[in-house]
Amino acid sequence: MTDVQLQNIVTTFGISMMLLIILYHYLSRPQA
Amino acid sequence: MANSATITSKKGVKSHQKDWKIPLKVLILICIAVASVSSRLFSVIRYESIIHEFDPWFNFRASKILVEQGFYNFLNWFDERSWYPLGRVAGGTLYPGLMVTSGIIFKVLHLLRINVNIRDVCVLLAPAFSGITAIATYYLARELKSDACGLLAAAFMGIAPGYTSRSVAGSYDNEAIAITLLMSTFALWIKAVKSGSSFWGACTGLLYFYMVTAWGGYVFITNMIPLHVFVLLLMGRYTSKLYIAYTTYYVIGTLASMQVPFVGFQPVSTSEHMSALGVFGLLQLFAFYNYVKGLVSSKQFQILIRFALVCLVGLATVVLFALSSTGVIAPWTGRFYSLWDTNYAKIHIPIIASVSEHQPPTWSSLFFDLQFLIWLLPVGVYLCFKELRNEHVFIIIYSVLGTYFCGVMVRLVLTLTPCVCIAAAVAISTLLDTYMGPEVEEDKVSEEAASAKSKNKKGIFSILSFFTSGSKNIGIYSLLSRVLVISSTAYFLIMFVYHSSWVTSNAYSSPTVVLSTVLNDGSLMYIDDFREAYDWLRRNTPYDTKVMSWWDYGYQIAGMADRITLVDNNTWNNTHIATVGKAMSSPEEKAYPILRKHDVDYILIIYGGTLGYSSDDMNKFLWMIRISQGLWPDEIVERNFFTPNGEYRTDDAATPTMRESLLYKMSYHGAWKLFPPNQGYDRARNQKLPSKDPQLFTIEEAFTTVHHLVRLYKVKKPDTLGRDLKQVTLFEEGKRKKLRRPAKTNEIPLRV
Repeated sequence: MTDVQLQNIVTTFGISMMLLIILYHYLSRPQA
Repeated sequence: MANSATITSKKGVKSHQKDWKIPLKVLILICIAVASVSSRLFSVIRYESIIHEFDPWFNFRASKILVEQGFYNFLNWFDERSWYPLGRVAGGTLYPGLMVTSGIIFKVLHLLRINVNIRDVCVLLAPAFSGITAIATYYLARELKSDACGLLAAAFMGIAPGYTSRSVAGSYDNEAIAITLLMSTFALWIKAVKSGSSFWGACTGLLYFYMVTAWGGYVFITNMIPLHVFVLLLMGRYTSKLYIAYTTYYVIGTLASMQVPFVGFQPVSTSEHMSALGVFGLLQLFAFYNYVKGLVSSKQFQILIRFALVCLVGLATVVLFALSSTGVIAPWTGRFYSLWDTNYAKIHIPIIASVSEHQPPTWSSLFFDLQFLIWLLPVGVYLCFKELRNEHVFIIIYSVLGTYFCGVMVRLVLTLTPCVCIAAAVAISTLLDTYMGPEVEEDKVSEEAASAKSKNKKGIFSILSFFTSGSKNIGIYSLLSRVLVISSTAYFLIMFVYHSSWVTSNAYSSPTVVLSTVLNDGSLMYIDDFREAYDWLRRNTPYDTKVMSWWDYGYQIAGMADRITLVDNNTWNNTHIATVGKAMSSPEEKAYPILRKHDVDYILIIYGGTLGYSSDDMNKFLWMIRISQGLWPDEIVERNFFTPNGEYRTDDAATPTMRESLLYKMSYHGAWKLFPPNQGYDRARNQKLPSKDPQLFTIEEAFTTVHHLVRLYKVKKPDTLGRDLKQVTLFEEGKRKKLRRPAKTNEIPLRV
């Protein structure tokens, strides 16, 4: 595995977790 | 009918969302674990599976002894190959948690027929534990606000450079597992306080014990939890839950921690632990007071009880001071004094002040390690103040202490990072909740808007009321503002991911043992001089060779070259270190007897002038001088190494004391050979090389690495004919002074 490939893995999983957390916030938002 | 249909559909939506929550949560936690582990593997991909820096080399050596010789031999290990000729009671002066953890993992893997090397277990231990840290942070942060907040805190913790810096692959140091244990202990403590369960209190105590075995920083927990209890008592929040949680934790944790040989009776005999003991006693008094208060209704009796309690607390404080001043309770150690008085170490303990990570941090380094989280810390603390439940009080105390300690020592960014991650998660989570929250009911909005319009019909007020009315088109609840705020938050979160991976890859993934530089064509060039020198020592010198070097390289010499050292990174004996400093800063004729007394065979130094490596021995020289001056102020004087203008010069303007010192001579001896005549240059200090090559008489160059970074000198044995070594050297070089016949004055002929 090269340096660039590892960098891509880290950023892909990192960005995914952040976006999924935003989605989680949306799904668990308080209902009116 | 329509209403009931709406309610049913809403219920359906809610249950549908709940169905998604658990798998989504698991998916996010998996992403966090993968991102946190993989971001710590750059060093392995770029270099190899290698132990980093300095201290990890000792831990690795200790782990090997544990695996090869068993637990009891490891605990009784006396290291006769360090601190020559004193040796070191290694087994009794280390925190065994790290080695035992990797030893257990090693044994379990072998039981499962997975044949791994102990080195690989040690290298990959820190990344593996970082995933667990993220999960522990999740459990702590969810108690403050919500699951979503916990996930955000875990994500921050997983990749925040402030924590990654100490937990990349190969960083086999105590902090590698200690931060995991710190967060787990705190999470369990909050759970224990909330539930009032003695089970969770006992779990907190046991995890605290694990923490004590792993890191000297356990004192942070020792003081943090009692402080939390004390503040809760001051706030009038004494409950039986608090009593059960603390007493269970304290009794089990303290008794267990006293089983660690290096800790022993410290929990009941040193000042650092007295706050925990004091709060334990205070809690008993509180419990007694509450018990009596419930039984006796007489007002006078209650006043009497209160008076008695105040007297008892006062008496306990006086006794504590008396015991401390008489030495029964050991006073605070220098390391702790330096936390309260930032100039203390500089004046009294130069060894502590000489370590670069004990300096205060700069703002840029805080931003480098925490990026946008650092300015979200106050926001998170403010939101904690708004809620102010017991767990919020804990985070507020943690943030105040963490920020202060981090301001004193840059290495304590590590303990601040979890608190910053949690506070920032509370802030971001609150922001997202607000902008993703439900819409305000239509009627309410229209009523508010109408009332605002009627109040301010004309002029600038009508515009202001339009912006603040909370109508659907503009304000917090408008679609535009929601999209803008959520997308900008997402942008910041993504930028944090990029920043963290960049910092980890470029700043924290170098093993220090192997250096690298980028060439003009963009390719990497590796500088492997340290291992080259250690390998030379291992291959070309006898097993019992004694190597003198500055203490920074002691662990590496013992770990890689497997040779006897005089001083190492344990720094337990200041006199021994000062002796090495004295030898380095003295002229040859004074240094040689010191070398002989300590049976030194080789001297290892680092010279970065050729490569431009600024962490070399000449740049650490002032600390050697200061430390030895502390013991021998008449012989070593720092001022003599500076020019009359106060400059630290190493070129031709260097002072005679500097030019004569052993380290100076060893550093610059033969350095001119790499340059054309009169063009020699020291790239580490940006000064010219001395025009006259320093000549050595009592030592000789044995080996210099390919990039001229590590230099080894062999100490000459005394001359067999009893001559002065300087005369011998001059004689062998053919520079022997001609014997002059005494002048013939008043010569009287023998015979007249």
